[in-house]
Amino acid sequence: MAQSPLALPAVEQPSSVVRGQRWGRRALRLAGKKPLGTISLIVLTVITVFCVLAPIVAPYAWDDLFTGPKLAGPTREGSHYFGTDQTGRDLYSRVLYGGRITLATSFTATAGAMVVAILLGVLSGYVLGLYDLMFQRVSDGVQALPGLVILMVVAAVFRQNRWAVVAALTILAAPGAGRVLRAQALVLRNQPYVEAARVVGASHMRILLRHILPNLAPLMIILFTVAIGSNMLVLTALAFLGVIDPSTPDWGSMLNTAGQQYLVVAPWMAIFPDAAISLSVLGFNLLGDALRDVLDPRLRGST
Amino acid sequence: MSAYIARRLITMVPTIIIVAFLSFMLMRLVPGDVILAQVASGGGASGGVSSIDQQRINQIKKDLGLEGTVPQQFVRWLGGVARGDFGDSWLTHQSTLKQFTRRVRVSIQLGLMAVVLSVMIGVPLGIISALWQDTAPDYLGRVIAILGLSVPNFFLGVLMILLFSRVFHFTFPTGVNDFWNDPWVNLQQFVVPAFVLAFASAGVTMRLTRTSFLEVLRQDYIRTAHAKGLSQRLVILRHALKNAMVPVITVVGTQLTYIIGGSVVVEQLFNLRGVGSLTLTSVLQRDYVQLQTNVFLFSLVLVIGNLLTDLTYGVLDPRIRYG
Repeated sequence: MAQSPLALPAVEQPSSVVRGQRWGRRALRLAGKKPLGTISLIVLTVITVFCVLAPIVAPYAWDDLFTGPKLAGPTREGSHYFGTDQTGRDLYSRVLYGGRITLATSFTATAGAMVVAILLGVLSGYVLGLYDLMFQRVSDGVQALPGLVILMVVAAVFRQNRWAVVAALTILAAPGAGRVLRAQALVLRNQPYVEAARVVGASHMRILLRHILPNLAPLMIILFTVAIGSNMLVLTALAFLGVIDPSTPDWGSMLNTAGQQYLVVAPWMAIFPDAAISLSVLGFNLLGDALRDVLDPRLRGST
Repeated sequence: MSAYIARRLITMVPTIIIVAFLSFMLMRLVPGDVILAQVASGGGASGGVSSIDQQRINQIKKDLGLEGTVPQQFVRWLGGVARGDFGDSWLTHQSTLKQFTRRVRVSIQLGLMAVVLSVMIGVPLGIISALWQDTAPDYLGRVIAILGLSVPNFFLGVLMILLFSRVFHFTFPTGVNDFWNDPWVNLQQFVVPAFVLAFASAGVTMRLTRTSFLEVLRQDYIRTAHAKGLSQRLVILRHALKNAMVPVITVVGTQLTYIIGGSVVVEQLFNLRGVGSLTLTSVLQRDYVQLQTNVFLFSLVLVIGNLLTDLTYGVLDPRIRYG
C-alpha cells in the first residue's frame, strides 16, 4: 500500500496481528540480550516435556526388571543411555519417570507457597495494623525454624507421605516470599494511582485486584522461579535421606541407599539423577536471574 | 546501643515462644494409634492391640508427656525445658538433652569450618568479580557461585567421595577423633565434608559480596578517596572493604539455617556422628521425644544466631540502631 509520507495511516492493521508480531519481536530481542536465560528456558522446557511424556518417550517402565544386564554402564544397546541398576532396571526410563514426581512436587509446593504468600503478605502490607504485626511475628517464628529438620519430622509423623511433606514445605516457604511481597505492597499502596483510585471510590477489593496485584506480577514471577529451584533442592535432599516414601522413584531417592551402596561400582546410578537435579536447579536459577534483570531492574544483582 | 539491644531482646521473646510452641505441636500431630503401635511392637510375644492393657498405654502417655489437655502438656513441657529436663528418648530411655549435647561437638566443628571456608571462598571471589566486572574473572566467579547454588550438597558429596576413593585411593577416617588429641586425623575427617557444606553458602556469600562491592565502589566517598590520590590498594582495603562487608555479615548469619539442614545430609554421607545424624536416626526410628528436643534446640540456635547477626549489624551500621 503506497502512501505519501505525510498522510496518516488510513486503516489500522488488525490489532491482534500487530500485537502478535510485536510480542514475537520483543521476545526475540530479549532472547538475544539474555542468552543464558534463553538457553535455561529451552533446557527446562526440554526436560519438562521429556519427563511429562515419559510413558511415550521412555524405552521401559520405571519398574521393569531385568531389561538388560545388571549394573551395566551407559550404552546404546537396548537404549540403556544411562545404564542399568542392580536389578537391571533401565536408568534412563527411571530418570524420566522420576522427573515427573520431582518436577510436580517442586512445582506444587512453590505454587502453593506463592498463593499463601500473596494471600497473607500482600494483604498484610495493604491492611497493616494488628494483622500485619501478627503476620510479621509468625513469619519470624516460621523462618527461625530449621526447615529441613522440620520437614524430616513431618515425613516421620506422616509415615513418609510425599504430599504431606509438600504441604509442609508450602507453609515453610511462604513467609520468605510473603515478606518480599508485603514490602512491595507497602510501597504500592501509597502510590498516587492507588490514592486516585481510592478517591474515586474504588473498593479495597478492586484496588487490590486491579491496581496492586497486577503491579506485583513481575515480582511474583521472579520469586516463583527462584523458589522452585531451592524447593527442588530441599525435596530431593529429603528423598536422598530416605525419609520420603521411595517406592516410586524420584531424582532424590534414586541415589538413596542403592545409589550409595553401588557408588563405586556403578557411579552412573548416582550421577544421572543428580545431574538432572543440578541442571534443572541451575536452569531455574539462571532463568530467575535473567527475569530479574528484565522485569525488575531495581533488584538487579541482589540475592 | 543498649536500648537497641533491649528492643531486640524483647522482640525475640514472642519468636521463641512461637518456635517452642511449633516444635511442641509438631509432635502432637502424631496420630494416636502410634502409641498403640508402640505398645504392640514392644508388648511381648502375644502382641496385637487386643492384649494391651490400659495401664501400659497410660505409662507410655506419661513418658511422652501426653497426659492431660494440650495447654497443660505445653506448660509442663516448658517447665521441664526451663529445668533442663527435655524428656527421655523413646528408644534409649536416656535424656534427650544429654544425647544431643554428647554429639553436638562434631556438628559445631563441622558448622564452624563450613562458615569459615564459605567466607574464605566467597568473599575473595566476590571482590575479584566486582573489581573486574564483566571480564573473564568475573564470569568465572559468577559461574562458580551459581553452581554452588544449584548443585545439591549430596551430589557434591557423592562426587567428592568418588574422587577421593577412585582417584586418590583415600579413605576417610571414621570414629571419634578429637581435634585436640589428634588434629591431623581430625582434619582429614572434617575438611572435605566442611567444604561440601560450605560450597552452597559460598555461592550466596560471593554473590552478595559482589553486589555490595559494586554498590560501594559507586559511592561518592570512593571517588573522593581516589581524587585525593590514594592508591587503588588503599581505597579498596581501607574504604571499600569495610563498608561492603556489612551486608555480607548478615548473610553469614542467615546461612545458619542452611548449615543445620546441610549438616544432616553431609553427616550422613561422610559417617560423622553429629546432631544431624542423630536427627536422621530419630526420624527413621520415629523417636519423637528426641526430635522435639532437637527441633527446639536447633530453633533456639537459629533465633540466637539471628539476634547476634542483628546486633553485629547494629554495631557496624549505626543507621540500623536508630531506624
